[in-house]
Amino acid sequence: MNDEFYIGWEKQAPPTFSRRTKAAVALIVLLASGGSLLLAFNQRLIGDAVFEWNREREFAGVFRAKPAPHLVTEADDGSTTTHLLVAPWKFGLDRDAAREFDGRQVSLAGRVIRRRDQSMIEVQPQSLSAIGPNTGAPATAASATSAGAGRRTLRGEIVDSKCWLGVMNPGRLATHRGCAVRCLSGGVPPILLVQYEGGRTEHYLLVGSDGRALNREILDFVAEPVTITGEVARQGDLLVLRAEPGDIARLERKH
Amino acid sequence: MSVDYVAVQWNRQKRWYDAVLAGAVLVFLALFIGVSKALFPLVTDEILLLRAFGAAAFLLLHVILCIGPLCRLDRRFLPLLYNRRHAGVACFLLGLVHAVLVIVTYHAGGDINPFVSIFTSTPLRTSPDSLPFQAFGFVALFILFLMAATSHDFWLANLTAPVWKALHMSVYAAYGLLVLHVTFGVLQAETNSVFAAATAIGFFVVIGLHLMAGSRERAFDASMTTPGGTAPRVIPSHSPRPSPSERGRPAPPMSDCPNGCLSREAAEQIPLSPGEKAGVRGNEASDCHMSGASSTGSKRFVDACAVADIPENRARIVCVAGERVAVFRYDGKVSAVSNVCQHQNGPLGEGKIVYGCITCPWHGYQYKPEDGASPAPFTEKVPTFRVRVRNGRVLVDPRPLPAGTHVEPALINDTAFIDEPLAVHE
Ligand code: HEM
Ligand code: HEM
Ligand code: FES
Repeated sequence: MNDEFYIGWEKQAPPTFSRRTKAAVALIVLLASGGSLLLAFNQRLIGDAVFEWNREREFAGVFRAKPAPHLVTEADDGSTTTHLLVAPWKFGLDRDAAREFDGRQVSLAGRVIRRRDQSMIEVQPQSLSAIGPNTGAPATAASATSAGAGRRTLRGEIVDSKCWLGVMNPGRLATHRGCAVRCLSGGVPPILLVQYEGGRTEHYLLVGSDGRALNREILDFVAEPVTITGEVARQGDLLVLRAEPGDIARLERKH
Repeated sequence: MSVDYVAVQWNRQKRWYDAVLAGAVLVFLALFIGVSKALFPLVTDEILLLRAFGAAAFLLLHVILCIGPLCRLDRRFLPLLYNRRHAGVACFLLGLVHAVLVIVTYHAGGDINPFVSIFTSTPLRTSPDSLPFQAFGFVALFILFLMAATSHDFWLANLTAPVWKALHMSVYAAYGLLVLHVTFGVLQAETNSVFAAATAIGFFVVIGLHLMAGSRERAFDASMTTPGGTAPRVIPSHSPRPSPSERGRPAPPMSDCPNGCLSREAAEQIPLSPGEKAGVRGNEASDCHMSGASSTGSKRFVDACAVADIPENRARIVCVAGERVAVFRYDGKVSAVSNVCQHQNGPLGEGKIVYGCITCPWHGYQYKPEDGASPAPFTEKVPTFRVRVRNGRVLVDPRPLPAGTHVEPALINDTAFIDEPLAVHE
């Protein structure tokens, strides 16, 4: 038998130990680099969403409290954009405090959150102020005229609008559930995310059948596949789904 | 080994070990972060980092878990075991960074305490994507913390090696929890089969290596009981887990011996009556055949093995009265000490006499063969056993003497007339 004996505190390991260890080290480095690349290349959930966390901007437009607080801004060419409004961290805008602004021209400072054409602003809470009298303009009436509106059953996943629209990327499914629960619990409006073959997605702002905010009532259904049966309507740029927690059903996920 | 406890006693091999460890971790993190950022420029940086650190910790844990069985299958991997504690601590630190990033990113800044959120934000149901995977991660991190916090030789000496070691075996619980953490966490989101396959392969490699190392032990046990007419009486053990040995020592873990002593314990449980043969193993696994009973002089002595079975400066591990004893041969003499290293219960009988001292194969702690005491200034001591040599056979008194007791070595050439117990200097 080879009488070589390894002692860690000696300067040098015996040759056969040394050779074997070098091979093992090479394997470990290979594993570290190969494993790392494999995992990095196979991530699938990182989407086309941004959070301009380091850039605060000023906005002016008409504030609407329903179906969820949002700001409608008008560009020079007359086209309008709807921005959902939320507060910093994992909180929605204080709806009671915001009610006084409903229908008024306001200015605010905040950071843009954006996924494709869906926009949101994280509002600096102290910055929201009315810059004109109440126009008296009625909130945009819900219209059930657009295609597919009316009573429908939709299949998708309930996400928190703030993370999904860009603060967290990726920001859905089991890994993100804890965060989504915190955000919804803190008043961030829920969205039903519906995905179609080919990658097209629709966002339905989820509210109660009476138009109330649904938050803590639906925490049990977040980040999993569900179907929801409710009334779909278009309110300005926003697609709204009115439903009750009892109208939500969990689905087994198809793999 | 040291009298004073210093943070880390550095030597050349430890420095190399840590350099390779740090290098491999950095390569993993840099590649994962760099490639992800290039492929997905819009990714949230915190999530990228928490993923990188979590995955690095989990991969490193696989490597750590494989070292034990690899060393049992092939001693040449022992250098990987030498400084494994630093790999363990690194694993904890990576997991900690991951957890802190997760808590800050996903749980802080909300309407309740972030630590409460970890446990309450997943409803407790049985569907696979609603198991509390984050709670699993938390408990695993706590276990890793306990191990890292008690990892220093100071704790080892004060908790005593058996207690520390029992604590250490909870790493398998931590690993199990982390497999659940990943299975019910990221695998429910990234349903891409590559992630699932990588997790499964890792799991089967860890389990497979442990089973291979275990089955090799069982094969060794079987060889001890195959008839040769004179094979020692050894009760085969079918349990992959050793049962506790005497003197309240908890069972060594599966990974106990790099070269294997696994499941020897069960056999060793059976006390041998005087004159009965001891089970034997040594540097090379071969049976120790002997003829008839022995120990006419003292009823206490049992036949252990033939002198010729022990290579010079090496030992055979024999099992007498439930105790594993390492019988060393050197300089024309034979000495017997407990097989269990005081440092981390390494198998002294797989060690070698180097510079006149029994040297442990794991971390190189040393003991003088005649009294089981470490040379000054070190203070570790192991129990010793009375030995004698007669007719080319080694006889061992199975009663352990207090650690550090001087026992006159038996002279190999001076065997004919000794019929009385050897002098013992207490
Ligand atoms: C308080 C303790 C912990 C918490 C709260 C926690 C939470 C999480 C969360 C939320 C994720 C999903 C991340 C994402 O992809 O968005 C995750 C993933 C992961 N965690 Fe943990 N974790 C903890 C401890 C650990 C520990 C100790 C380890 C390993 C030693 C670990 C290993 C992993 C791995 C490998 C992943 C998958 C990484 C990936 O997404 O690519 N976790 N953990
Ligand atoms: C968080 C940290 C740690 C992890 C994940 C870890 C991992 C492990 C594992 C998996 C084992 C037993 C299985 C085997 O033999 O392969 C083990 C044993 C061992 N660990 Fe650790 N370890 C950690 C911390 C430490 C620390 C702090 C020390 C410092 C003393 C240490 C030193 C050892 C030694 C010397 C053994 C071999 C003794 C034996 O197998 O019973 N480890 N470690
Ligand atoms: S177990 Fe560490 S030196 Fe023996």
